[in-house]
Amino acid sequence: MGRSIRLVVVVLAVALAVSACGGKDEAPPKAAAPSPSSPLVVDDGSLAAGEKISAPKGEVVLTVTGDIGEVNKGKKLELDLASLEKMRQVRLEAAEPFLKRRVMFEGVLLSDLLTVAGVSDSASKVSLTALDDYKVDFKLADVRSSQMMLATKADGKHMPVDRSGPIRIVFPDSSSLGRNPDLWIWSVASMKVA
Amino acid sequence: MADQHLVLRRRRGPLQTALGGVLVVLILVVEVLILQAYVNVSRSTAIFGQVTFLTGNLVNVQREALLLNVKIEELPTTRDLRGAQLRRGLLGNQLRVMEGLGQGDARVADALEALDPDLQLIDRALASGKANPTRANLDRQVASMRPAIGRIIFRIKDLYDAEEQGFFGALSGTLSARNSSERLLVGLSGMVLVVGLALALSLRQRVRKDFARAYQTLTAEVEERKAAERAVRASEERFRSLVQNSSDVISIVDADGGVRYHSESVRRVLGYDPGELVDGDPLSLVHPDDRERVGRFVAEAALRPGVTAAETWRIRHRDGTWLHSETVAANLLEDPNVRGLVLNTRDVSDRKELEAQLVHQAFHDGLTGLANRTLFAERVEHALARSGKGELAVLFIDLDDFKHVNDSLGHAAGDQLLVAAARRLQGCLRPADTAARLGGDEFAVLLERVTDAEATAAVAGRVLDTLHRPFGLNGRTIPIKASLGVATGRPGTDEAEELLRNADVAMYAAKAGGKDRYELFRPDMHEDMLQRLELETELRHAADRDQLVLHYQPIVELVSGRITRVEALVRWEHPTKGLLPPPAFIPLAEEQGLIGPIGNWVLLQACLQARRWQDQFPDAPPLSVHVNLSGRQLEEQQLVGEVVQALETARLSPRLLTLEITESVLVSDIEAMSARLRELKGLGVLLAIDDFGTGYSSLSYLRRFPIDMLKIDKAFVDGIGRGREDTALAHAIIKLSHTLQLHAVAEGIEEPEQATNLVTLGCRDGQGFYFSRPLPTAAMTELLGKTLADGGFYLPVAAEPLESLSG
Repeated sequence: MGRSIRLVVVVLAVALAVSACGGKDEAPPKAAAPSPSSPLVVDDGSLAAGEKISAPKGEVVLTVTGDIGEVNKGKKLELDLASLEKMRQVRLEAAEPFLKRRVMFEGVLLSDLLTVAGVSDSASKVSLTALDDYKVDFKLADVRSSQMMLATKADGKHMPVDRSGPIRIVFPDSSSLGRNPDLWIWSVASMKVA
Repeated sequence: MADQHLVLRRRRGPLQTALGGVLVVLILVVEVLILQAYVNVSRSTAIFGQVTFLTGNLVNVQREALLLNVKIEELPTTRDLRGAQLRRGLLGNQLRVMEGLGQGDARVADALEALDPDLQLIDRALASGKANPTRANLDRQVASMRPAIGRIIFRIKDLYDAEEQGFFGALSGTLSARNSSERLLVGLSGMVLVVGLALALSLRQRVRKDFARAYQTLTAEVEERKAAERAVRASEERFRSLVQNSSDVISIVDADGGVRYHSESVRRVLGYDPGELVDGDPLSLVHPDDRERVGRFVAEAALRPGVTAAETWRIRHRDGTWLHSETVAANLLEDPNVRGLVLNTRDVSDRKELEAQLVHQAFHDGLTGLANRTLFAERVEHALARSGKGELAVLFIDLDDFKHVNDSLGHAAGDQLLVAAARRLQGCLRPADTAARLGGDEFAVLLERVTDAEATAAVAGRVLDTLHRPFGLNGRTIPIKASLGVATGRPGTDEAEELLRNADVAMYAAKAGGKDRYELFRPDMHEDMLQRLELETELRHAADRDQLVLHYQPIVELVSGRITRVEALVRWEHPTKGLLPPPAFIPLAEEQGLIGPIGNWVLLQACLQARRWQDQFPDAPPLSVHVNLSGRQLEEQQLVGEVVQALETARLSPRLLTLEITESVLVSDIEAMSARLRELKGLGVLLAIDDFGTGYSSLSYLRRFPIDMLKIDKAFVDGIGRGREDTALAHAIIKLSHTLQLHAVAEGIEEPEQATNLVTLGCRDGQGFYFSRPLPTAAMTELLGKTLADGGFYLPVAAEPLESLSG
């Protein structure tokens, strides 16, 4: 009798083990580790923090408003690509959730940008609006911890509007926020700190 | 027990095995189904996510297309080519995202490819408008773009619908597949539950059963062990109780005979305390005559293992009486628990006594206590074997007419008579002699060491005399008479068997010679005996062979000589011995039980003959006929019927038949005889007492019985005229008959004087040779014919009656 019970137990255990393995098998495959999968500083930039940012000469790609210290047009801080590229530049290879391929992005860490913009200590969030009026809010703490990046180039090229440009938010693979594609806001046009 | 262990070790039954197998299969199937379902679910989820993404993107695409359309429509007024280009860029981006999302989706690829010409058209138009921003050009460009953007919107809408439809179709298919597989899964899971439950229940049941069986086995074992212990204990107790309460005395003695142990029962059986006998000399209790035997018994028992045969000897009880004991010895000298002889002794005094009684019964007559035939024969044999001086004699004694006593007074009276006879017999013997009852009314005596025949005869005479002494029975005094036969033998020469036979023969001779006497055996008695036996055989056939004849003797009036009656007398015409008178064969016929048929024959013949004479001599007054009846005949029930039959057959008046009976017949059974005679008398026949005066002296029966006639015995008639006393006797009888108003007939008249004297004494009738001998029928008829005169048969009477005496 004991033998039969043992047999049943063994069968059950094996079955459970098999099913458990099956579950793992069916889990979404993990992307291979990119290089660099976390933002890598490629240029410290010429624009120091607290330094006055002059009004942009080129086409304004980003307008920052709200609780910021640095402004260059009224209460707004307007930035063109050149201004952005004067800031500390980082490079990051990340899995693009819409194209489903790895893309090498270059741009500015959003946290760097906000520092340059002189975000006040009391500010807690930042609201981003795209050209198509798409909106995403981030907590400033998340902005800092997730190393999200405002990209200006993809695979070494500037991005036109029909390539999600001219600027877009990307996340490193390690970021948990980045797993939600909805946060990957493209064609960012303005930013309001509150 | 081993069996039950085996059962316990046996595993699950076929039901459990089957259930277990089914359960395992079900679980595996369920597992596979669950895996499949899981795969399906995750695939569906992935597809769902993808499609949701795609359709979401499509909505964006659509929105961008519509916004682009608005921008284009507004161009003529706003001239915002830059805004239109931005919208075109945003649409492009959305389409690119869609391309990324819709990888592998043919519909998406086809739709994008189909959109391409229109998009290029719009790009070219917008570029043209930018290059030439005139109103006319703008209007023209807008007009060219309008159908393109319309087609784009339409196509996107189409793709959306197709994607949506495909998604929901796939979803519903997946869902329905999932539904059926889930139903199967639920069903199988239910079965798993049911089978599992059944298996669990059956296992539980089996476990319970096994447990119950194990418990049962265990308890049975315990019970068995207990029972075994009980049995051992009971056996011990029983044994102890057997030993202590046994009616037997159980003793243990050493090989040399010393007593080590006596059971408690010695107190009961022999009256001694067990302690006081131990270590004593056991032989001191044994009867001195048996001591040597007991010693030998113990010595032999000590030599041989096993149990001896039972021996009996006498042991003294404490009260001094001797008991017969029976002892069995078991040699247990080798048994370490005993190391002795176990003697089992029991009191068999009762049995010994019973044995002695049985032996006595086997050799003695129960009624009289005398030796029986077996013992007597043995004694005779013993006496003959003994070499001694003198002869020995055997007396055979048969009581005469004992059957009469037995029949008339009853068996109890008969037994009393036998006991009295035995006692008297024993009384006249010496201690060394043996008296025996051989059976019925036969006795025997063995006389040892008799000197001569005279001495033997003296003993025989003394025996008869002793028996003769009157014996009181039921208020009557009866003499015991016997016939006695004596035979003598000489030790060493004669055979016991022959001696006994000789005595028997002599006894028969005495009986045949008239009873109430003894006869010494003579060799010729054998011859007589044989003749007698022969005669018996012949008598049986006498009637059949017409050897019996009737003779008739006239009875006459003494004065006139007139024949008034005739007495029928039976004769046997024996082929070699000639004519035999009744005494020569009637007693024999009575003994042999032949008297009935013979008597009936005589009765009938006599009646028929009387009838014939009546017919032959119609002028004479009819003759009466006398027929003799024996005692045996009177005892027989059918006698009355036979008389009636004879009278009817002969058409004879009962008044003409006279039945004669002897006095001795009347004494046997007064009541029965009296009744029988009254019956006969009732028929109208006459009754006469034959041979009156020779029998018993009691005359009271004359008043009691309905008698008509006395026939005076010849003995009295003979004496008439010879002396005064004899004449006086005859006279007295005649006077008696007158007093009782009985008819007197004198018998045996041989002389004319006798007839004359009888007439003088008052006797009217008589018979005898003087008038006529008994005559054969023919002669009698002739006589009647010759004497017929004056209306009667008159015999010539020689002398005239003495006139002087009559008066």
